Amino acid sequence: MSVLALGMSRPVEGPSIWSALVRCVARWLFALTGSSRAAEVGGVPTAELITRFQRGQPRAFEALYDRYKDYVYRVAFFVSRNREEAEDAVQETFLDVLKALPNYDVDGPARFETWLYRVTLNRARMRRRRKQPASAEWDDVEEQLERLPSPSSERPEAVFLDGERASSLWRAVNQLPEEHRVVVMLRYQQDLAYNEIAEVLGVREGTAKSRLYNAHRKLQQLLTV
Amino acid sequence: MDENHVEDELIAYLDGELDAADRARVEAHLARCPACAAALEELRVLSRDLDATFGAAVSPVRLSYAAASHIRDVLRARLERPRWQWVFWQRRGLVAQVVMALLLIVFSFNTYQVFTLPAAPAPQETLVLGQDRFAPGTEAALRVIVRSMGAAPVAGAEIAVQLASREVYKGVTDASGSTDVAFTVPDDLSGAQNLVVETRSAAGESRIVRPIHIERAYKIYLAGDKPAYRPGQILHARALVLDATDFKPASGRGVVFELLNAEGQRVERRAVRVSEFGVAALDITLSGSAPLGAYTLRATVDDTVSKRTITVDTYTLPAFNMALETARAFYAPGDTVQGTVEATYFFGKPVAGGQVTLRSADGVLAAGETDAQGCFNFGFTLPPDVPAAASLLFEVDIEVIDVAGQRAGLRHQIPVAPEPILIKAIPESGLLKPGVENTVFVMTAYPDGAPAETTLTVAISGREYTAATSYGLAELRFTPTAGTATLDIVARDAASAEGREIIALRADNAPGALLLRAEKAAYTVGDTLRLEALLAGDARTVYLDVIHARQTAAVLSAPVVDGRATFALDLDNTHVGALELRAYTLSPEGALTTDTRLVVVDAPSRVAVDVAADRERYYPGETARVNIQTSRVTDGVAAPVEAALGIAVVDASVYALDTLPPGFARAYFLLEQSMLERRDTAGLDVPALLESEGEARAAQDVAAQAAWAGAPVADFSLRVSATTTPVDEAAQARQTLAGRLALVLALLPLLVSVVVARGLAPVGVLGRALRRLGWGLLGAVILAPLAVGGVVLALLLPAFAGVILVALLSFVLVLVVIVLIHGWRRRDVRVQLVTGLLVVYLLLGGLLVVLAAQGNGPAGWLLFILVATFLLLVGALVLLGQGLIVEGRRAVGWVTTALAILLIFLAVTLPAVPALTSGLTRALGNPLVYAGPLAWMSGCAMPAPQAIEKTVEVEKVIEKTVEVEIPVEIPPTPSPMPTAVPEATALPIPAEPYPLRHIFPETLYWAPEALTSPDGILAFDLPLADTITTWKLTALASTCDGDLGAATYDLVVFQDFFVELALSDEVCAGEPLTITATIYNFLPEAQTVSVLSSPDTWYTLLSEAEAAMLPADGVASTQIVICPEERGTFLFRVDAEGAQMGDAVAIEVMIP
Repeated sequence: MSVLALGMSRPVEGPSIWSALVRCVARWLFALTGSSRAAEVGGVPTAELITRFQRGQPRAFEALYDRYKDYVYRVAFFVSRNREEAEDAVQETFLDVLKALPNYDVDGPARFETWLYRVTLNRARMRRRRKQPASAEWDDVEEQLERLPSPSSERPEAVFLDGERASSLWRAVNQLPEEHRVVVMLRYQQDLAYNEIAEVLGVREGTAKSRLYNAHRKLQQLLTV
Repeated sequence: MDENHVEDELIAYLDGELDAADRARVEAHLARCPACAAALEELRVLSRDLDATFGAAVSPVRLSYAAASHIRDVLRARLERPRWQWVFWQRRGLVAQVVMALLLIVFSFNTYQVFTLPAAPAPQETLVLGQDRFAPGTEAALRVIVRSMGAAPVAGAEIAVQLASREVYKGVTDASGSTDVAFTVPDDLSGAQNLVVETRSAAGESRIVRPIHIERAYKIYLAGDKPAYRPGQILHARALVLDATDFKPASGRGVVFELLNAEGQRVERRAVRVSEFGVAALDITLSGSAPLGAYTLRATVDDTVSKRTITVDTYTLPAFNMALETARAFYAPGDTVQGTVEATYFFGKPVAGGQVTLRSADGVLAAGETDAQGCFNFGFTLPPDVPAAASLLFEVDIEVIDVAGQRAGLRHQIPVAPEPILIKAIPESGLLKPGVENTVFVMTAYPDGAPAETTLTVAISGREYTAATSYGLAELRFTPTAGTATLDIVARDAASAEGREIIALRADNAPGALLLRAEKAAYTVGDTLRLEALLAGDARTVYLDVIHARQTAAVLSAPVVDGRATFALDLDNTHVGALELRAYTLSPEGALTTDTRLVVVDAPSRVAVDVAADRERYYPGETARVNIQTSRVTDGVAAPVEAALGIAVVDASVYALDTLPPGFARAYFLLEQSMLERRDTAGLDVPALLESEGEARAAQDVAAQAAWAGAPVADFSLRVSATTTPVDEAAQARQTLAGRLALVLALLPLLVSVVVARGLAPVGVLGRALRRLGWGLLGAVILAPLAVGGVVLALLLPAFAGVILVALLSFVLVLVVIVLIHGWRRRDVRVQLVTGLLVVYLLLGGLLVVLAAQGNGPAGWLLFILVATFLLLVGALVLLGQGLIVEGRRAVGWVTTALAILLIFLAVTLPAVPALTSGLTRALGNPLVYAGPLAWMSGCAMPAPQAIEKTVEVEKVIEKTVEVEIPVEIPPTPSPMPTAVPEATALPIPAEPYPLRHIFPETLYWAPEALTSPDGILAFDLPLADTITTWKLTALASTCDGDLGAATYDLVVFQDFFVELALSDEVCAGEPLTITATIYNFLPEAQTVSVLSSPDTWYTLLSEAEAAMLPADGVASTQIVICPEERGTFLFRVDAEGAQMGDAVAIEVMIP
């Protein structure tokens, strides 16, 4: 199973009966002193979740995880093009976040997402050095796009897009150089603003803007070919 | 315009990412530019399609359930921690900072404490002064002075004194830093013991251990019956042994008598036990062939030895006594000496008609005949050329041959002096003491020693003093200056005889002269001894030791007021005897200035001995009844007391051979040896000193002071000092603090490195940061020589070192603040922790540098570790900075890197500041350390470790007790009524018409220990022998309490008509032997005397004696010559018959 192949660190073991007992008591106390239920994924704002977590409610982190796990996965998957690598990257990302979250400045200028995606990108990029080939799931994406129905009156938004166009766009995007590819993904997949893109990439906004512009031009070139 | 195409802004315009101004501009352009408008459309389509594509592509992509669960489990495991741990972990940065702040606060308290510890008190010195002999059961004393090294007295120091592990004294020093240690020596101790003096004060403790001797001191008065003996005679020796401290008889002790002959060989050695009255006696028979010469009789008790010189000689007792008197006591050269020679028989009658010859070295001075009274007047002139340098004794030998041909000689010395008056001056202290008023005793005497009453004119350094002598002594008072004082003294007596002397007196060179003056020289028990010490120096306290029988009996101290200190001591029974009063002061350097006075304290009581016989005159062979009464006289009141008497009855002619008067015994016990030796100077007469009253006593007192002035005295036999160097707690505390600081400072960089590494690693930055660090190091190594050179140059100007240091410190602080603020604002735990640790490191490091500059710095391996960890810190800081740069936080990253480099400069600058120089700063600031691996490999110099000095001196000697040899006992128990000890032959004596006189002892009677009755009465019968002479009875009385007394008495044995026989010198068998018979006729009528010898077998008569014709009161002699035929001891008898009286005499003749 992928779990075994992950080679991740095993869960922390309880060293002794006593510490297990202490943990039990602590959890019970914690529950008594009013723990928070797992926040609804869609209900509580992220900032609130973070704050709750920072104040000592581990469940808030779980809620964050639930909320963002797929987004993180998508980023990692797009970058690494390999499911297993992406899953590992997600775990690592969230572990990093777990470690860093207690000191995260909720009222800071950047959004949580940008920071999160930045960490994800780092992790995914690090993993990418392992040069794993694209996994089957990656090819599935392209196949799926090809199977998109032709524009019909049933779905007005699909008027503009059909499978052929989609898959050729997809192929073109994936032919872009890494930098452009990532920036396009951030703009269209994650819907980040330019300054957020710049945050995630760790570059200036102007750089992000010009990268995007160049990415589009390149795409146009690739598409007309 | 076409050149301003906005193609590159179209996507931003589409996405609404342009600001208002740009948007307006673009729209304006689009309105004009169809190309751009077309491009915009294309872009719009593309964007739309991309949106849709991504949406379609991405939406099905999601984390598989399995993966999501697994990840969730992993995360949950991480989240599952106890809440407090969680909070701590979340807030770990804050927690760490709080802990650091707390530690810093505690540390600053500790540091403050350490720095405000009082400085160690100055080292202290404990001085112990005294004697090293103690007599058991007596009062003893020591002087203990505690003072700090600056000579300031230490008051309140606890002193404990132990003797043989028993505590004998416990006290506290007074304001002058000294304490009078007075204690009683335990009775049951003896031998070598340890004296322990422990001092405890604020400066610490010290312990002095010294071996001392506990033993009784004794005085042995050794006397014989005669001063001279013939071989074969019996030597009667008597020792009176009294304890030197309390004069109690040393009963039970063993006395070892020894007799050494003239060659020093031991002739006799015997041990005798001392009786209850302190008497030990022994009779030693001299062998008949004993070598002649000066023998030494010795009596030893423990350490005390007493000696007497005895002459063994074949002397002939003089037949009569002679005396010479001159008209004047002394003469000048060329004067005519007029005088009288008087010769008297020992039985009292004058030698009439004797031939007198006076001779000097130059020849006969005068010759003539004695008259009926036995006197001969003469006159002769002294030679004129006696050297005028000193007074001379002109020797005159006088020989008298009486009618019977018996000879006697006398040597007389006539003082001949160019100066009629002899002048001597002696300062009261032996040496002049400059700066204080001294008393100088001036003694004027006639050349024969008799004191001269004179008026004196004394010139000293231009000043003139006048004085008059009283009993030959005058006291001169003046204040001398340093150096030698020259006294020009002119003395003139009532007869206008004048003497002049220029005397140079030396002054004591020691700085701060001290003069001790006693009111008197002789005291009695019950008096108060008052002393005054005069000083020229600036000592503040004068100490006084009262030494009695070589033991310090008491110590006193007195403050100095106006250059004077006074002492008063009430004299009691424990002070009887000679007291050595030693006053001394202690200079800051520890030098002692002393002055000593000798005084004598008379015993409160003495024994009066009254001897009486039943008759004034006895016939030979009779028995005298002698009655002796001893009584104790206290304050003039006499009470009978039981005493032991040493009685000797000796022929007066023996005493002509010179002996000591029996009254000497008392003086012997009371005075010290050095005082005894001077007993005849300055006109001092010790018995008069002790027994006279009023003016005579006062005069004798002055004489005693003069006589004993400057007598040699022994030094302190116990003099030891110990130093306590107190443990400097402050220095120790600082050293400990420095050690702890060094450890902490070594650990901090490790912490920093760990924080940096763990802080950078998860963010993926560590590797890149390390790479950058590596490049940076390489660059630094290459550039190092330049940087180091620049710094060294800058530091060559030490004036700037301080400025540079301050500047660097300020820079560092500013940068630290910047980084700290950044860390706070960004909530970056790593930066917060590192900066906090760095601040702590700088603070503690600064403190350690200050401590090191005071000499408490780390050394050796610790120093090496400190330098290494400092480098580690710098490296970690640089790493952090580069890591921050890699993360994108460039500004703070470079600031951190700059901070690290500034630290290096700071370290290099430190040793240039003189106030901070130490091993630590030198090691840290060694530029080679930072010059890279090459320098490290070559090794940087490490400073040598510092030693802390802390010494406490301890004297440590333990001796085993030494066993004293107990002599073999021979207890003589004298009977209450001793009998006479005649030296008679055992030959049978036939009865005769006239009693045969044949017993002629020299010592008639010897009783070394005759005890009186409890009423002090001793009456005994004294069988008088056959000698016609005056027997001198001397009795020396001692009681159980140590009181002494003596008396002499003359017993005259006489008959009007008698014969005395004398042998010529050589007696040889077979050789003719002449026996001279001297006939004395004191009958009122003349007599014709026939002398017949009794025939006997052992000789042949060669020549008969002639009859002699004697006038009334006449003396004649006749000779009988015999030839001894046999060897042995025989009796030779002569009968002399006159008309009215006759006499029969026999003498012993020993033919070898």
